[in-house]
Amino acid sequence: MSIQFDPNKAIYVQIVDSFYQRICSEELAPGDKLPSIRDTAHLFKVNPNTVSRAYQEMDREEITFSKRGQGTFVTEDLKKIQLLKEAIAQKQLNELVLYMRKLGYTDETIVEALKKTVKELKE
Amino acid sequence: MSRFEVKGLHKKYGQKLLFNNLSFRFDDNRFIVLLGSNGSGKSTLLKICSGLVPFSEGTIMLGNGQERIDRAHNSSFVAEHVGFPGYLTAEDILQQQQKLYPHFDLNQAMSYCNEMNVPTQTKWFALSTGQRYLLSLIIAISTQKPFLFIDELLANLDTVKKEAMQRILTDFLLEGSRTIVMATHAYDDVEMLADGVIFIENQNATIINDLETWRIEQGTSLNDLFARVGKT
Repeated sequence: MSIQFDPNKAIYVQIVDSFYQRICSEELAPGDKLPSIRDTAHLFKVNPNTVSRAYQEMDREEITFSKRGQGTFVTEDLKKIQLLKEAIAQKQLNELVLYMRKLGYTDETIVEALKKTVKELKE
Repeated sequence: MSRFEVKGLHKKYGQKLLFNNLSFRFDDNRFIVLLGSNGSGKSTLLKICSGLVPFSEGTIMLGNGQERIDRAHNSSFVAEHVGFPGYLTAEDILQQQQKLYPHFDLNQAMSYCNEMNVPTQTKWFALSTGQRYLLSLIIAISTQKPFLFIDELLANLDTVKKEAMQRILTDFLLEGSRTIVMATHAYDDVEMLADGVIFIENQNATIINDLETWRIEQGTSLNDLFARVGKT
């Protein structure tokens, strides 16, 4: 797995986002150990300090927790993961709606377009 | 703690003033990119810091080392033109280094060579440019010195060698209390590895101490900064 980072944005924020995505999709399950800072730095080809900062940020937001000498783990609190998932989804939805309004869509046509797209993508 | 501090540095080459009261400080475990147009003094700054070139005024601290001999002792300098006798094989060179530097990690150096496809039985003159760069870097890292000064080594490397080099540098940082300062025009290749910037201009420097915070505040990349600067 490799990510193309946007150099215009803080790298650690993008690392956090990529882990949150994997945690929400349960690719990383509650209680799972995250790869070591070393492995993540090599995998993403970023500065280990940046990875360490990303891990601290996830710890601070209580989506992960670190055990001294053992590594960083995904929280076992399912409620926190659920809230994270809703927050990320909400942010995406807000951006989508605001963008479509800018394009001149009315609220009703936004809903219609969304329904249509959901249906189309299913097939 | 291995701080990297320059205070009130003055340097003249003949009549040309290169640095006028240059000061900055970085604390340990950093990957600093050194940017600046040709002739701005990037190479000279690296050589001054690593004790290879004298300067007129100011102080430079590499960890606890301030005297020129201590700075040389605390650091490695790697550049394109650094060479070894052509008739020595990579393994000969590594063994020679082990005799010169008591902390030289021969096993690490050999395993890097194997991993990065640097042939250890080939003589220096027969190695490709990329292999020579990699070998020079492997040697610098294996001497276990905490400061690594690199003068433009990524240019002209193929992708595989670039990635190998990035891997070696990441490993070096992971050892803790290590500092890399790298002069480069190939900023794209180190954008993700860098976490600090020294940007030389008009005999002085602009310092970005925390590149991540800078990205958040400015919403721009190092690339853009350099593009802006390259024009002046």
